[in-house]
Amino acid sequence: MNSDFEIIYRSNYQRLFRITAKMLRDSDAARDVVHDVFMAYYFVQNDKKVIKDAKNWLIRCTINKGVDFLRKNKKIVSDETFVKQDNTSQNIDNQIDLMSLLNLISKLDGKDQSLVVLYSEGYSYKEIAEITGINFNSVGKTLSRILEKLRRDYETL
Amino acid sequence: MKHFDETTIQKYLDNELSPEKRNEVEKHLENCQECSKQVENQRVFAENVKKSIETFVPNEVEIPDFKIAYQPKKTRTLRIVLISSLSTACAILLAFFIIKGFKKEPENYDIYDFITIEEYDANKPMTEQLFTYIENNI
Repeated sequence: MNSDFEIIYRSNYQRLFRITAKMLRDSDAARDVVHDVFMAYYFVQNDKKVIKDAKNWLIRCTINKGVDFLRKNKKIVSDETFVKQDNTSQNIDNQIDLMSLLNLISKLDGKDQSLVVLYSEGYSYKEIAEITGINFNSVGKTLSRILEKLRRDYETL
Repeated sequence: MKHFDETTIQKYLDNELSPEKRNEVEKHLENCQECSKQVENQRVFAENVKKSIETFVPNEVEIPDFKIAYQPKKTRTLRIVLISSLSTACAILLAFFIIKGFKKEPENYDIYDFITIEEYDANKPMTEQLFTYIENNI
């Protein structure tokens, strides 16, 4: 294995893992997906294809694979995990029920979810636009609409 | 006085507004309670979203060594090649025969192939029969 790859692997692993864990809400599945992403990167690199911006490429790939994973395992992932922790979280935090909020987020469309995840990771609008391919001018509008929709849904709970 | 919409407020919270627009919003917020409330609401909600999405992320992440997983090569085995080629050959032959319709020219003509029953008069000798060609019979 070449050292360039090793450096990219070391420097990006945690970032990608956090994004996937947020999307999938399951750290074991997240490890698998991140490994898949690096496998894809390894083979693309071996084919001597040029990747301009490795970091953005990796994040984009992660999001796509995460969305795929969510689509495949829709029924398995969502319900059980929330039911278990619902009672405990209400007792600890009575101001806002984080679990039901998370439940709402998990019901969002895959692309919207990835946008929220990137936003929560603290990326600027410009970076989000570069990663997701959305027009820079419409990132703010899309994001605020998603958040507004979440807020309205949460208030009607 | 014109109130700002959610998008502008969201951009204001994320420091994504241009300096002029930002000044404008800040001036407006000093006087407008409604908008200040909306800003506060959105700020709290965005924080809650960030907090809630964090719940399933472990605090420390170990970086495992990268191992290349075994990937089976996608080569076609001899059996698959044989079966597929044979089946295509069969399909082509079948199509050929269906189009041709298994037509065969009859070698021995019968007298009834050429005359209809109405025209056949048994009282006349064979030489005086009216012969007509019936296309469909061939």
